[in-house]
This record gives sequence, structure tokens and C-alpha cells, in this order.
Amino acid sequence: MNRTLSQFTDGTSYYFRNYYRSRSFFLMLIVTLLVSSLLTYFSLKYIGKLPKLFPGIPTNLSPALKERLLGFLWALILLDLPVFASVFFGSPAISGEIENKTAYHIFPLPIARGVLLLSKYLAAVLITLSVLLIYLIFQGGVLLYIFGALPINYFSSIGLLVVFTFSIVAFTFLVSSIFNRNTYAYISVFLIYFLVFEAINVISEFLYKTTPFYLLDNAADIISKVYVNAGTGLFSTSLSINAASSSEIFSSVLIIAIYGIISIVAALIIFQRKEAY
Amino acid sequence: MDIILKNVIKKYGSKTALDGVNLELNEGGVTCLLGPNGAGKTTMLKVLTNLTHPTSGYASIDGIKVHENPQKALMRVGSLVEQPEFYPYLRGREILDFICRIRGIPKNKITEEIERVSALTGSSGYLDRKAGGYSRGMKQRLGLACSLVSDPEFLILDEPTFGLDPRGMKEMRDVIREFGSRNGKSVLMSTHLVSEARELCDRIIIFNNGNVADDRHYRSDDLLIKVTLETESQIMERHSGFEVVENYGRTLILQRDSGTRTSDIINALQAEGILIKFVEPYNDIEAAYMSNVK
Repeated sequence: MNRTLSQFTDGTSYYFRNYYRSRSFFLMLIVTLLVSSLLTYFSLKYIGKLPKLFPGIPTNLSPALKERLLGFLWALILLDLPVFASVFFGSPAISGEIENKTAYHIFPLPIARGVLLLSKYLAAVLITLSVLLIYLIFQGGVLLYIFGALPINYFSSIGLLVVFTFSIVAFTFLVSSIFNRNTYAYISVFLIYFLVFEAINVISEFLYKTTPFYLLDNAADIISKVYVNAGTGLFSTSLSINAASSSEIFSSVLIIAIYGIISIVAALIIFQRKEAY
Repeated sequence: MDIILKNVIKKYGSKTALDGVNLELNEGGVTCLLGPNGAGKTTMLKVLTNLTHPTSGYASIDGIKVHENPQKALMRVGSLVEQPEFYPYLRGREILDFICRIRGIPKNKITEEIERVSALTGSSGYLDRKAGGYSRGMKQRLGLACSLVSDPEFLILDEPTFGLDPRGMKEMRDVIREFGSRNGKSVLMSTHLVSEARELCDRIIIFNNGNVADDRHYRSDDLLIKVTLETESQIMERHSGFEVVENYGRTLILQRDSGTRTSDIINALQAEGILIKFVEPYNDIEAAYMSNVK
């Protein structure tokens, strides 16, 4: 047990090093800095005109509500960052072992495949969170600068973001474990997340006038809804100045966690049987 | 160590890579899998190292089936299969450190172990560079260093000299020979070079079409001699003390009777007026290879 644990921590440490020195990490870092800078500029320049950007919202907003609206805008962008980061770090995680032939010297070592996969998974989650941390620091800095304090919603949003990161990275690991080519894994994650999920969204809203709550991308909207409970449906837009309720948060976390658990268990099963041809 | 392959079949779709291989390896020294590309040598090594799973049959190491309990079966096995690639942003030293930790080497002994294996394989000079920038030869040396971590009992090497320059090939062969000569150590290596097999191996298994075509022990005291002549000459088949077993014109394969010295043969041939260019020891690996690999 001790040996397995030390193999796991050593594996995480070395995989994390391999990630943070990679070009993918620097690219994600640059993109995140760019997006954060843009939003900082927008926030500082347009904070006075913020209510006008939300139709139906009274113009004489309290500073607390204004802060939540700004937090909501930042969180809307934040929703996509873990997806892109995990595509960078998670999609080639397993397929890359075969395509890049690193499996040939790693698989025959006396370490359980499960330990290998989980240590790499944790490293991918940590590197994704490291990128997101830059964005969150910018966001927190802007909110502090304008409003003098951070709302509780900011911290709730971070907590949900961490859960979502674990889940989306697990999802990319699952897709990666199916393929032996990185390109297939990258494309498949993008197609599933941005095309298949979107197609189900459109069909469901068109036919049943309801947003499919069970999709990972919809459940992830809770990261922004803890600021302002805005409906993001295609044919119906609703905006409540209230934050999402506890039950909404709970059900979203449950869906996100289910995706994460099923994905990582399935990835483990496939990885266990993975062959290096 | 006792390595057994029992009726191992491996199919990739409709292609049969291994076709019911039965083998036992339980002696020390260097055993060679010799065969052309696509004969199934690498697939067999992959089955032994858990890189691929047999379609039927099994491979076991000391009674432990590799695909059922790979961690335990491969505990005392070092391997270098195909051309090794490493995590590109890790340094050679970090890769070796990672493997030392996986193999359970105590933390205070890791530096010493890294120095040992890198000195053995000549990889010390570039351990502090990131592996992504290594040449093929550097990777091959680092791969061998990785396989030697924790001084395993059994070494599995897939075309270990591939991609190396002549000096690298010699150094790699020296390491393999030295390892295989140590008490209790065995090497199973694949090659498609008859000369390499002849130079290094105590036992040679010729592989063709996914199965064992020939399996023999190479004896350095073999009674066969290869004689290359200056010009093609008429020669009798039977002489006193030796016999011509193959005559290819300017190349003769002679089998000497025990007690006959090579110098006796040279003298006898020169007495017949035959001009000799080279005399070298010969074993029948090449002939076995040619007759088994069509």
C-alpha cells in the first residue's frame, strides 16, 4: 500500500513536471493571460454601463448585484477555459503513450496501470487548475479593485470549477483511452463537447422546449449561475437577478460528478486492457 | 529465471503474428531471437513484457502469468522494446529517477543507481538534458540504462543496437555480453543480424512466420571452419582429418575431426596448391537461417 502510494505521488510529480514544461502549458498560459487582460480592460472601462448590457435589469443596481453581474460575465468565459485546457492536457494523455511510444518503457515496469493512469490524471487536473488560477487571480483582483471585497459567489464558483475540472479532465482521459492517435482524441473531445452536446441541446429545446439538464456542459453552467441565474437556452432566455438555489447547485454537482466518476472508471478499465502494438 | 511461452497465439485482426509459440528459457546467458522483419520476434517480446496480450496461450515468468499479474511477473525483468521514446520534457536523470522510484529503490541509493546504469551505458554525459532533444542513439542508451535499473535478473531487448553508430554498437554489445555472463542473469534479445547473433548469443532461436523455425545452442568449440580461397579450386570432399561439407566455389565450409587443428587443415590445403585468403570459425547459423527463412 505504501509502495503504491509512493508510486502514485512520484508519478503525479513527474507527470506534472512534464506538463508544466510543455508547449501546451505555455500556449494555454498565453491564451489565459490574453483573455484575462481583455476582460480586465472591459470590466474597468464598462463597469458603469454594466446594467445596460442586461436587458430587463433595473439600471439603479446595488453594488452587490453589480458585482454579481460582473462575476457572472467573467464566469461565462471561465466555463470554456477548463474545456480547452483539459483538451490540451487530457486528450493526448493515453493515446499519446501509444502514439509517442512512451508506453514501451512504461508499461513493462512493475507499476499497476491504474496507478499510472490516476497519477497522470491528477497531474492533468493540477496543471489545468494552475492555468485557471491565473484567470481567477485576475477576476478576483478586478472585483476587489472595483468593489473592495470578494462576494461569496466568487468562492462558490471556484469550488464548482474545481469539481468541473476533475470531471472534464476525466472525460478527456476516457476519450483518449479509446484511441491510439492524439489527433483522433483531440477532435473527438471537441466534437462531442461542442457538437454532439450542442445538437442534443438544440433538438431537446426545439422539440420539448426544455434544456437537457443531464448534459455536462449544461450542468457546468452552474459555475456562472451561482452569480446570476441566467437561462442559457437557445430559444428561451431568462434572467433572474437571484443566484442559483442550493438544490440547483446540488443537482448540477451531482451530474458533473457522475460524468467524472463514470469517465475515470471507464478510462481505467480501457487502459487496463490497452495494448501497445 | 524460468520463462515459458505455452502455445501463444497472437492475432491482429486476420493477421497472425504468433502462431502457437512454445518456448522454455531457463538457462543463463544470452538467447537470441533471429528472424526477418515481421517474423513475430517483437510481438513475442511484447507478450512477455505485457505490452500486448496473447489471443490464446500464455507467457509466464517464474510460474506467474504475465498478463494476469504483470507487476509481480515483471518485478525482476528489465526491458527495452522497440525504439524507446521518453517523456520529452523530462531530463534523462529525472526519467531514471522515476524508474528507480517505481522499482522501489531506497531514496538514499537512487543517485548511486543512476550513476551506475548511466556509466554502464555511456549516457552520463547528457542526463541533464531534456529527453525530447535526444538523438536515436542517446535514446537507445538511455533505454538500456532504464532497463538495467535495480539490476534485474532477466533482460529483454528488442534489436538493442538498432540506430547506434559502430562505437555505440560495440559498447551496447559489451554491456549485453557482460550482463549475460554474470551468474544468474539471462538476456533474451531479438535481432535480424546473423553476425550479431553469432557474436553474442549462446542460444539462437530462428523465428519465421510467427513461430520457432529452429532452436539451437551455439558452441564456440564448433568443429566447422569457413575457408575463403583466392581463386576457385578443385578440391576433394574427404581429406585426412577434415571433410568439405559445403562448397560454394571460393568459399568452403569444412568440418574438422576432433583432434584436427586448424593449422593442419591450412597445411593440407596449401599442400594441394590451394591458395587461402581467410580462415575463420564458422557455425551453421547462417545456413540454418537461410534454410528456415525463405
